[in-house]
Amino acid sequence: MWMLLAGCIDPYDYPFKEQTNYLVVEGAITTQPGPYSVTLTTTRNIGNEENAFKLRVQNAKVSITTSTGSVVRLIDQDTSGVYYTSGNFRGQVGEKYQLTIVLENGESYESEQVELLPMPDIDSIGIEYASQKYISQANTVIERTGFYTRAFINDPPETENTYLVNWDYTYKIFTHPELATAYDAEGCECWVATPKACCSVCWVEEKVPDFTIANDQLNNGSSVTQYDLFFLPVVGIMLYEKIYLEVTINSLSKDAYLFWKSVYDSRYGQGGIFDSTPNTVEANVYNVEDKDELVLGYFYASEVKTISRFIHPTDFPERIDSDTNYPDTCLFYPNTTAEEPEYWNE
Amino acid sequence: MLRFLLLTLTVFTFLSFHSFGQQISDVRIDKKFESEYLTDVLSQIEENSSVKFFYDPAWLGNVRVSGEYSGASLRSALEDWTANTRLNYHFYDAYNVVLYLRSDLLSTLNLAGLKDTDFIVVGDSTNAVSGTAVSVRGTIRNGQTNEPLLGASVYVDELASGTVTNAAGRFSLQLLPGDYHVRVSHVTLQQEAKRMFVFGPGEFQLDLYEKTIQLEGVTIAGQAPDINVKGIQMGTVQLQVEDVKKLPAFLGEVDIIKSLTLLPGVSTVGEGTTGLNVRGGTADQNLILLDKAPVYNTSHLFGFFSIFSPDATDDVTIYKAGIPANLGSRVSSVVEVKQKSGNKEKFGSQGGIGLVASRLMVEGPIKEGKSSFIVAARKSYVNYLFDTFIKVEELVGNKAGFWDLSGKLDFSLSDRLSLTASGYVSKDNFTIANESSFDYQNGLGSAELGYVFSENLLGGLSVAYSDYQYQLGDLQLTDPYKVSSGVGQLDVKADVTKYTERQTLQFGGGTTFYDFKPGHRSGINADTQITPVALPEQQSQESFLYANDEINLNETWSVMAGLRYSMYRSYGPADVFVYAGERPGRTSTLTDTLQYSGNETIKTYSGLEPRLSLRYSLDEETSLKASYNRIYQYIHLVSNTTAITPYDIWMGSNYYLMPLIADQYSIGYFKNYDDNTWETSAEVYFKDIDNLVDYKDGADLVLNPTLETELIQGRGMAYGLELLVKRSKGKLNGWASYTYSRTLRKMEGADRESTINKGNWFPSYYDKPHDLTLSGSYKATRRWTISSNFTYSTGRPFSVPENGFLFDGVLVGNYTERNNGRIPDYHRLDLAFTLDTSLKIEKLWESSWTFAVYNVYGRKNAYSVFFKDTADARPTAYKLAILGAAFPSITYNFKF
Repeated sequence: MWMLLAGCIDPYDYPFKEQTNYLVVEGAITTQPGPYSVTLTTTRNIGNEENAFKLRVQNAKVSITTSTGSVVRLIDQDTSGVYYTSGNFRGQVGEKYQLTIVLENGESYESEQVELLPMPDIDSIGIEYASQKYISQANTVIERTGFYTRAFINDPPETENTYLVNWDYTYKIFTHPELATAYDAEGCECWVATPKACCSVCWVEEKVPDFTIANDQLNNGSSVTQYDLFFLPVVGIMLYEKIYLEVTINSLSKDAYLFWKSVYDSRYGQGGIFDSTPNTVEANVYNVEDKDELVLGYFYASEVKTISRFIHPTDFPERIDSDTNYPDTCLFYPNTTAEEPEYWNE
Repeated sequence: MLRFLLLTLTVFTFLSFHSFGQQISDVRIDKKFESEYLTDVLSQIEENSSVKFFYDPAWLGNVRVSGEYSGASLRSALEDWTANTRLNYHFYDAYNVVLYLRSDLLSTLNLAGLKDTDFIVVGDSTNAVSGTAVSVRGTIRNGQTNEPLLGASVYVDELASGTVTNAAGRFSLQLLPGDYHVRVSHVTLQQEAKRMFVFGPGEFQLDLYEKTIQLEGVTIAGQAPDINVKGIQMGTVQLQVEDVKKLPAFLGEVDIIKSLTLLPGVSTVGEGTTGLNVRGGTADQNLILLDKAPVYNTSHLFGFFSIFSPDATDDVTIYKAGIPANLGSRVSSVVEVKQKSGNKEKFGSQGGIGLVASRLMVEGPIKEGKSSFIVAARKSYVNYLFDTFIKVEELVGNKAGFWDLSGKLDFSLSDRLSLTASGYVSKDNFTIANESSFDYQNGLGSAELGYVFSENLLGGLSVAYSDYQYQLGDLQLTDPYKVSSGVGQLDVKADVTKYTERQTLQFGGGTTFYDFKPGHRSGINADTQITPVALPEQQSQESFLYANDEINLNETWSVMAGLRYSMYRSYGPADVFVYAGERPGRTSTLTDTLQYSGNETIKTYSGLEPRLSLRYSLDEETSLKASYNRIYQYIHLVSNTTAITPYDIWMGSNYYLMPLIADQYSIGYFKNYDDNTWETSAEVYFKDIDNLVDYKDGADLVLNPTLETELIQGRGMAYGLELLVKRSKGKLNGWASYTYSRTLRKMEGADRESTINKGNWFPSYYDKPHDLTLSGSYKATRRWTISSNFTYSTGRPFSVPENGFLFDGVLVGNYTERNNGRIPDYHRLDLAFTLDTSLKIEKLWESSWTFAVYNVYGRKNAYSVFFKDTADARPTAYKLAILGAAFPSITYNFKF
């Protein structure tokens, strides 16, 4: 409707006025192998990208105290403001962690104790063919087809469960290196055939920068809860053989979920009539001396579980043209490898 | 001169027919007449007595007589029978009665240049009273429908005072015999100005006609031309639908509610939004009444169109200040939308065909002269356009549509008793395929019984019902669901109005039962996995008693004083959660649950609401006015979005949520120039609101059983200056208004989460300090009218991130303050051309074409500005414009 009425979204240069630099903490302890990092930066002026490199907070003393009493020091090896645990430290389900930071100027900060909540088993990932319309940057409506995905998780019905979800996928493509040509600038000043032996088949490993968050507010109470995750757009060349989809789900506490929701809204919110007005979720890290000081970011702990599945051409009801028609090696495609990944034939 | 000759002839004729027997004083009338010709009645009297009547039959041609008489004297009967005619009578002697046309005996007066339709004669000019005040009574009717007009103003220039008609169209004035200029006006009709010669007690009847037949342009705010100066009301404006129809409208759909935003002090949050912001109030602080029934959602398609069909609506009145004590319940304004009554004499119809919707209204008598009906319907065909003509791939599956149906029945049960019943239903559907849907329904009904105890005493009893239901569907998910919410209320109200020469005293009371349905979630598919959730309904009752007296102390001072006492209780069945600590907070723990059984009182609130208005006339065309009102508001719209949206929840005051209490003070200076051709006014106001509801940062309001933990209450303050210059006569008319206003709030709670902006005053999201409106129309020819609006206002506030921080590669905005920035200023120009196709006064088929362009220069006015870090572009602010182009439209309207 908004589109019909020529509604549109345009970039708008707003003169953001920064008044204070606030400390920003980003850190997580998971059950995946370490080392884990805690990044200390400060807020940045929106629209002014020049200050991006002055923002790291160096020379701080950072440590994590576990509920079992051990203290883990984090080291900033290259003064980048990123502090690492040692490689052998690993998060444990049920354990609580507290972050302590002492800045160079002596100000000291503490986080709340965050509990590493268990991630229930993921039963499976379901897919459903669908089309999705979205408004592009050029304010045109674009339709794409693909799959809605959902996770079935065996989580306890009595508690409210909240998750952070990431995903990657890999697919095989087919090109025509034997048809490669090159421009002969020295000789005939024309295009000449330069057939190549390698490579006609590659695997494209897409690292998706997107994330989503999920909660069971809608359908808590069942022993297997269904969570809608994300839309995976699919084009024909991705279905030369099949798509490998890997979904990683992190357990989140309710508070950590609310923080992640504010990050989510910052990226995916629309500013429309129905959107609630934005707000800042404060960090769970406080200045020990001055509890009113605004600290941003979050420190949380998650158990991480991963599940994968394949999507086959038979799942996709459209006519598939999987040939890239690309007259060169498939290695020229971004994020490609000619080596078959070990999970490809699992 | 011809008439004089005729009279002379008549006089000579009767001399030769002298009779004997029963004389005038012996005649007693014992009979019931039902619309009999006066000539027949007079013949009957002649047959039964020795009395003879002398007249020219042409004068009595179609004068009819109705009424029941038992033992009435001939004098009183003739008084009645000639009352509404231009006839007068004279008892020549004991047996002979002369009937004559009044003007004939006025030849002694200097009537040079006056047509006989220019003056009114009251009393017996041959038997003039002198020295003592006599009663001048009369009836004002709508000449087209012959219906009595309520609220017509009868104003006597020489006295600088007047009166208004009651529900029977009757009025009464005490005047010394003499020569007066009287002006009779009514909001919807053309004013009549007459010379009035008062010789003695008497009556007259006057019919007013619609304005359309005049070669003048659009008039906004009818009423008497000087009501702004002479009336006690300030901050009150009445708009005639006939006039609103001539304003440029978005996609040609006449919008009564949107037209209010052209007035000073009334604004909206943005295009495509429901709700008005009146003098710094939120959208839920306006009581919008259709006849007597409150309307919760006044818009179709999110506020692009109002739900009121222009063909079935008479007028709309907005009270921004000096609200009389009979009105209340909302702290910012009362908007009364009056449905038209059907024509009791003849059938008629009108309608229109537009780009988005078409409408039809049919009206007519049920029993001629006694009762009438009116039915109006409207249906949009946006879907049909989508599917048939536009065929835009992107829009397949999207739906937007509405219909509404309204009707009113009007019965004159007797001379004294009238009954009106009106009803309204509407339905809206809006679906974005695979994304979301929003449906809502309004159902309204009211019945009103009016009783005329005596000429000066009227009683009214009304019952009203309103039901608003809305459903929000989330269709993005593979398992779609909807959340249904609603609110319903039932009102009973009784009023008595007593008119005396200098006072209008009104008193009464009423009660309202509310039923709030805060939310119910259910899956849409048959095999849904969605867990159904239903928040319990809440019940409450609001009651009031009031008295309001409007007194014209003398020619310079008038005062309106009123007092209203309102009381409210929320009652069970309900469970109330008790929290540790003083106020419920997010982190505070539940310590107890209080269980209330059915009808058990949970919490009561009550208060006195004084109202006072003063008017002081400096001279004929200048007055100073001041007003104060206090109003309690017991129900709230809880929202954390800028516009009224389906996420909002209506709720009553309860164990935690306290009623709003607003005090408004305003003063104004009103001056007219050039025989009321130019009206000017300046008003200033200050408003103080207690217990204003706001939400905590990050509040989750949907289906939240502990909503009290997300809400805070604080103070609101609004002040402003409203300037208006208006020209309401002539070919070119319209107005220019400028408003400077601020609306601020202060939320200082016990802890950080219940404090906003560090407890400092901060602007409300609809704070728009500068607001300029130019609205005009020009009657270029008899057929063509050109009208135009221009509005400018400061951009509304929004929350700007002070800076941002990177988290997981996303730049997240850091919002340290609420409403600390402003979106770009808003301005827009609209144009409309109306072509009247028929100009005869007695036309059978009237029609007009309206060509309009909304947003002529296609400005992409911002609806909102928001910060976003998209994955594929630099993190920055974005501007959302809902209407980004000029919207032309064409509408055909007809009436027969």
